[in-house]
Amino acid sequence: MFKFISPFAKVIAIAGALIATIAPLYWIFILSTQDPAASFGQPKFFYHPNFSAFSTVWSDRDFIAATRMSIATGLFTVSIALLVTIPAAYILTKRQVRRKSGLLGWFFVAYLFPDFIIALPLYSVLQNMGLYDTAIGLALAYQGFMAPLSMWLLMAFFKTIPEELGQAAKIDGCSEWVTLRRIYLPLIRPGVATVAILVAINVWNEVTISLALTSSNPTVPIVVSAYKGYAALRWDQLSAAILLSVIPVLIFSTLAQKQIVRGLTEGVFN
Amino acid sequence: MWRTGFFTVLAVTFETTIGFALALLVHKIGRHAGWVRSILIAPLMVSGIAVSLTWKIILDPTIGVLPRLLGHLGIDHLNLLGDPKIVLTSVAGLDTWWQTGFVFIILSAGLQALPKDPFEAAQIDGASAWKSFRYITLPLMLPLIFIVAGIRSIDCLKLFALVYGATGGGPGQSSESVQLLAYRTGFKASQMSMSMTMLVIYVFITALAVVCVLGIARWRRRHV
Repeated sequence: MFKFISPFAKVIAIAGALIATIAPLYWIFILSTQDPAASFGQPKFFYHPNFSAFSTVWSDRDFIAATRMSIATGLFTVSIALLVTIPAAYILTKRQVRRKSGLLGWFFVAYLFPDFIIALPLYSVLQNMGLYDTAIGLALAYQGFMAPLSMWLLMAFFKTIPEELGQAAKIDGCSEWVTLRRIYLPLIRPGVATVAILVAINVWNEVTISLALTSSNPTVPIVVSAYKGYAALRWDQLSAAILLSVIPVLIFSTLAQKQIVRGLTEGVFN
Repeated sequence: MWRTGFFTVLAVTFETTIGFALALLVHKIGRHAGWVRSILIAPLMVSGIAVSLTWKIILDPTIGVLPRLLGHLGIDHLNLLGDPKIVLTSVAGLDTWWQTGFVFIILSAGLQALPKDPFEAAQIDGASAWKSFRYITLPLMLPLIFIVAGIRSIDCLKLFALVYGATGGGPGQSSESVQLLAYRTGFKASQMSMSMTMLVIYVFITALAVVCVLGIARWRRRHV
């Protein structure tokens, strides 16, 4: 296929795309390792790398607190989402449920909503419950988006498992709960891992809801954007903060890449 | 509202075109496909805020590297994020850098799932490469392209993190998106009800647009 494009042009085009993708990240790395004062406000191309900006950011108390907050929120969000959606997805795929398409349609509508339409009412709800500005409150708020996401993906994964397994278990006298736990759960473990990874990455990167629902305990992206204030002078620290916020996700997602690609495509095809 | 719409149209067009082109190019390159693919989807994993700040540094007129390189080429004082006339286009460019990987990976998976027979049949009938692309690949991929563009449009209409980080809505209001405006009205100006009203109206308009698009898609499927 596509012999009408010469192989040479093809290589050039792909290389161009690769460079365009990598160059910005690489430039940020260069910036984070040089001292702005030493380079007189103009970043240099050749220099001695200097990692002091990283240690400055890493010893910043706000940054550490935000990292803790983000990790806690991520853990809570993933656990709640999985606890709720695994049984739900199981029942919706393996049993006859009335008004199923309406139910699934509603999940799609939830995706249409701008984030703030969920964040603003929750703002007052969480304040009344005393959960405003806490990791649990934030994790509960995220369910509005993460539950539909994990629901779609899990249903796609459940569909790949043949019906007969569950029926056989039932004949042997297993209850629904035992069937789910003993038969299905071990089989869809890769699916569950995919969902957990995708939800965790989404939560780590999310900014809208956390901006609305936290004040003194912000998450990582918010703290990073706070460095913007000194962008003109301390771009080494700003870049280091960007990299520190990005690197965990990049490493994590590279390791889990096959799973992620599978998750994304399963989600769209089904 | 118009600004968000303009941004969405621009960004989705870029992303879908580039994403599809890349998917076609990378399809069947064999041995190297793995790492090429991982690099191309790397930006997806970066948060919107980090993307916007990264590009803010790169495009900054005094310390940014891109204006400086362009300066050597004779294009001076290009302020991509500071000029009200082009700022939306620049933000759409950022979104393209960020999200093209999404279009790319979904369409690649789609290409791999295409049936082989029609292509073999076409080859036997002596169809040119271009013809087999135009009359087989494109029609088969169209539904998927449509879905991906739809998902991206919905995401783009919710534009927030990029403008929040890169421009703060400025200069003036020239890059303010609906969500940013709602955030400002609700939290900074403490007019929650006003902000909610804006968003609810906005949801209705978005939903209407989605229903229209789905309607057109269904109508097309019936008539083609």
